[in-house]
Amino acid sequence: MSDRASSGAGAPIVMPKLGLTMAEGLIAEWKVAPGEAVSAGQVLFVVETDKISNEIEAPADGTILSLLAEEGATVAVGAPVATWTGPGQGTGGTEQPPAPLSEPVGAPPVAAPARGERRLSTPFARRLAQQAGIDLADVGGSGARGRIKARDVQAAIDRRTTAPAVSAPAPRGRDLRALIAARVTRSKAEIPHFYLSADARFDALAALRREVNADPSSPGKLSVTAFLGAAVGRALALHPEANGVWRGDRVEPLDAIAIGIAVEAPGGVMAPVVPLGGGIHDFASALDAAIERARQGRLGAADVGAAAIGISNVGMFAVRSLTPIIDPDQSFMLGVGAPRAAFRADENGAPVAVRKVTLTLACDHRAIDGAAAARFLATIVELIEHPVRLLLPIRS
Amino acid sequence: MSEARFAHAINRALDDALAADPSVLLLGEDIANAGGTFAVTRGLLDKHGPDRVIDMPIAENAIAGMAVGLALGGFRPVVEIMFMDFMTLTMDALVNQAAKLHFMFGGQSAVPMVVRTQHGGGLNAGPQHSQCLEAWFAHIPGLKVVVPATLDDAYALLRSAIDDPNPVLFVENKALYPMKGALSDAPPAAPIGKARIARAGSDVTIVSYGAMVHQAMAAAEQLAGEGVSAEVIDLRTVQPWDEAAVLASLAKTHRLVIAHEAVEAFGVGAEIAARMAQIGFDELDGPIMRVGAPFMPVPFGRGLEVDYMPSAARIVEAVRATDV
Repeated sequence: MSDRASSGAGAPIVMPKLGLTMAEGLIAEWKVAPGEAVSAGQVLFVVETDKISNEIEAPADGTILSLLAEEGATVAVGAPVATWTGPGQGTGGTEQPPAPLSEPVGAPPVAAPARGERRLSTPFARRLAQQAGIDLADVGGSGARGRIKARDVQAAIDRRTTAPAVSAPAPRGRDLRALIAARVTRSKAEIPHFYLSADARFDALAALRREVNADPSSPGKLSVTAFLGAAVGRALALHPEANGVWRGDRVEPLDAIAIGIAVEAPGGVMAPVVPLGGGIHDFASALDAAIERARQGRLGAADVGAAAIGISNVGMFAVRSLTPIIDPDQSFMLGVGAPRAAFRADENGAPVAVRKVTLTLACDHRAIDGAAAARFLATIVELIEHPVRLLLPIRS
Repeated sequence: MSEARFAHAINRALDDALAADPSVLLLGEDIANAGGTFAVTRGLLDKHGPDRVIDMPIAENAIAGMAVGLALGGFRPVVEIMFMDFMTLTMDALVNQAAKLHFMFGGQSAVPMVVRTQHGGGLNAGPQHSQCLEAWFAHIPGLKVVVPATLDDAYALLRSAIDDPNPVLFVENKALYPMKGALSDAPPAAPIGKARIARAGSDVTIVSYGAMVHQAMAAAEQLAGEGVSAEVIDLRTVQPWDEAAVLASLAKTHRLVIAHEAVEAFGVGAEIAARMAQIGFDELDGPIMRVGAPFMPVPFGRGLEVDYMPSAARIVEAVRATDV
């Protein structure tokens, strides 16, 4: 491949690196063909990693000369996938390090035309869509002139699993279930897990959340998950030794604080990473946006940052506790159960009705020992029980 | 089951029909002493005698007119019109008389006649001996049009045509005559109006009849190599054609190609395409494609005729064009 790319037949377009741990990407779809003239910003191809699906745009105008990787092929980061007449991307004879074609920012725009615009579609595709309750405005057409074919509708139906209202273009090419299976299997095989559990009183956090959300000057509603994320992030700030991940043969400290959030999405659980910075409302709005992108299967490069910890909250299901599996790129996963009523003894030994949640912290023993992890969890509990500090801007 | 040629299957059907029903007569030019231009009626004169297998003068209008009279008079004439091109001369008897009489007589009479004729090119027989004119007759209420593709069907459909109480045009593609194939000892009955799934498939339906079925099968074979599963429907009968079978196949594959040797314009394919666009509209996942000859007389020259005649390659091309 690189021979062809360096033989003078145009400059290479390379597999971009989308996220810290990405080593290779799958060419899910080519959007251009050899001989096609492309303009800057035009989508050239769709890359799938084990976390995201991302559209790669042309950095400049040019003409595609050849495609070096077929759809479905897995290509190493930096390896050429096509040649074109535009600027080279630093492979094939030159010694420049490979660089992404463009810096993908957030989720790619949906290619579908605006509502009300005429969409070409076959009669059978329309019938299928009507029967399945699919809005053709949400379906991309693969036929001539963008005509929507039955296969496009079928793909939309296939993507729509648990959430019928969401027309989610889930990762193409590879089955999300298989990706999740591979990741959790790798995690359990490679990471020596140990688990810590603690109950945290939940009354103060619930009351504070009610109060903040009722305040008309509040910039937005705060979810329980936003509070939990803020508590975990602040605990990381207080325990910098926990803010690292095991890479190769050592703990690699992370610069910033970010939280992975497990989201139930069509096709399977996704875990966007949300950076923690500024106030809790900034975090909450970034969190809500990431959750929405995950549910639509549109996670982008911004959602795959490095994080030491993820949160999996099953509290909404009245489940008491969750013993989670660590994301293979992280060191912890915090399982959060449902708040429940219980009696506790007060100072005088009299029973007092309280609400509490059970937290279960799965830890990578390579990255942290039991005592340090226990201190980390105790801080999380402390912050949940005294949540007012969560409203203060974090200093990292 | 034995290996035979297509012409032999027709010969056997005529032989068996003559033996089975004394009212069956064969009329045509050179069918008796000469055994037919394509040797289809060879041996029948010796076996059934000059009263049953009758050579006629070169006067197609007279042959057809006589057959209509014989049919009305209680016989079952089977006429051979050598080359379909000469059907022009039979038109009044066939189109104005035979096709209408059952209707005009209020059902009190019928015209149980068969006209066997040969269509198709590939023999460098020129523009006046190579036409495929079945659409003309399919357009006439009261006429049935049958075009077999296999040996068993040639036998069984001809027996059905002879048994039919109304006029049937039985069209044999002359390029098929030398085709070898399996002929069952007792070919399964083939009722008029019932199509046959020549090859089952799931991705695209290719509707064809007569010799073009074999091109469709070759196209399907090539497509299978490309991972496209084509279903080939052999119509067997062009009028009445098996609309339900085509619709059922379209409902399965959602793509449709119609292939015939006749010129594409105003042809049988146009009718099928129009009906499927109407009753099968919601099944369509691509444009209906037709494969036919170009709108011009059949050329004489060998090279030109090869280009003129629809081929498996053109069917494959059309199949690809349904997926846009």
